[in-house]
Amino acid sequence: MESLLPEWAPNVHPMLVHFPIAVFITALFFDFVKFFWKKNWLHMVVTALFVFAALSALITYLSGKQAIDIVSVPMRAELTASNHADWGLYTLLYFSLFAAIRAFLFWKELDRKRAVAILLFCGSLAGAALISKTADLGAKLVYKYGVGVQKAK
Amino acid sequence: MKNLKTNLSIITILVVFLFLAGTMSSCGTKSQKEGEEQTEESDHHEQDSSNTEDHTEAGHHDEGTDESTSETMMWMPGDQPFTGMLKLEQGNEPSLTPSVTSESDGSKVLNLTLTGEKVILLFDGALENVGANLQFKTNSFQGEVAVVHHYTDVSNYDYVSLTSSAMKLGRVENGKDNVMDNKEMKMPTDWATLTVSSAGEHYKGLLNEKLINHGHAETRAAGQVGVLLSGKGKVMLKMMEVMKLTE
Repeated sequence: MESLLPEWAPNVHPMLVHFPIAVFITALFFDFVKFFWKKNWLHMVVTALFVFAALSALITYLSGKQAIDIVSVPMRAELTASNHADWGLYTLLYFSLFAAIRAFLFWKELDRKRAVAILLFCGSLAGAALISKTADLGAKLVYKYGVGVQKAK
Repeated sequence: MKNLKTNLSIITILVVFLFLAGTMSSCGTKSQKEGEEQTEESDHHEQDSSNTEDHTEAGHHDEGTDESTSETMMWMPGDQPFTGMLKLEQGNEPSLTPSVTSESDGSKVLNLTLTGEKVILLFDGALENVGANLQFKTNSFQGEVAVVHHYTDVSNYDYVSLTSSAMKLGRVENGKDNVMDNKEMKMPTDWATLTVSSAGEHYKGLLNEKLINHGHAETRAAGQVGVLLSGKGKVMLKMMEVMKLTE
């Protein structure tokens, strides 16, 4: 697996981190769109996107667990790294539970009800807030403390 | 068809609005943060200058090289043993036959000879999230060299320790030792740096900047940081640095 990485990459984690963010935000966007554009296939797409976001969050979290023991973390960045790991775990747990709930409601066709759809959309916003916090801490590790960054030659 | 066009128009307007709102709030946040960082930096400069003054005053005393800022404390031996900010908490001073010698590079070393007792040296002040480096060397030593943190008493503290066979990360709670992580490791024969970090529920132990132990435990009340030595033989201490960890 490591041989597939580009020479400049410290590990696979930075390659994967953007997937759950992008997929979840896309899912959130279409979750909002379907309030106005009521198409059956859109319900399926949104549910599939949330499930895919949860799967990509799982893979990203596991890669992060591996990365934290490989990269050199400066002492003053340890608390940020610790918080990033904790928020990553909270995000993964929330995404998994949320995807499972959405899949169940889609299967039972309950997500078509307006009240349920509004509640689910609020849940999507909470998920976006969680991943935003996790991403912010990850970005701080890289751009403030230089974790996983090579010196320019 | 007309209904679809209306919906698409609403969506387009909404997307443009969200994009503009996002862009504006992002720029606003950045400039606000930059302002905050500048203020923080100037605060740090003020603190640094006040600390320099304190340090100059301390220089009149024979206390070795102690450096302290709001976030880091550094101890190096002075001309006399146990006169700096790393104080002897437990152990019989005369039986340790302490002495301070100089290395070829001019740095001072605190030499302690242990005869089987437990010795604890501590910094003043309690810290919650903390990192610490200890530069040490042993000679004909059989026992344990440890960095302790969250120390409240001899029965309650966290530690990273090194013996002749293992390096472990653990927590002593009411006298009971709970090991979080244990790895096979030999005691270095030359100068080595033992590092510990305790950030939230994440604990790490490093030897010469290489990660050896990684464990997890619940957070506990703030406590003191220091060195724990037990065993028989000679232990030399050159430097200890303690850092308060913040985001």
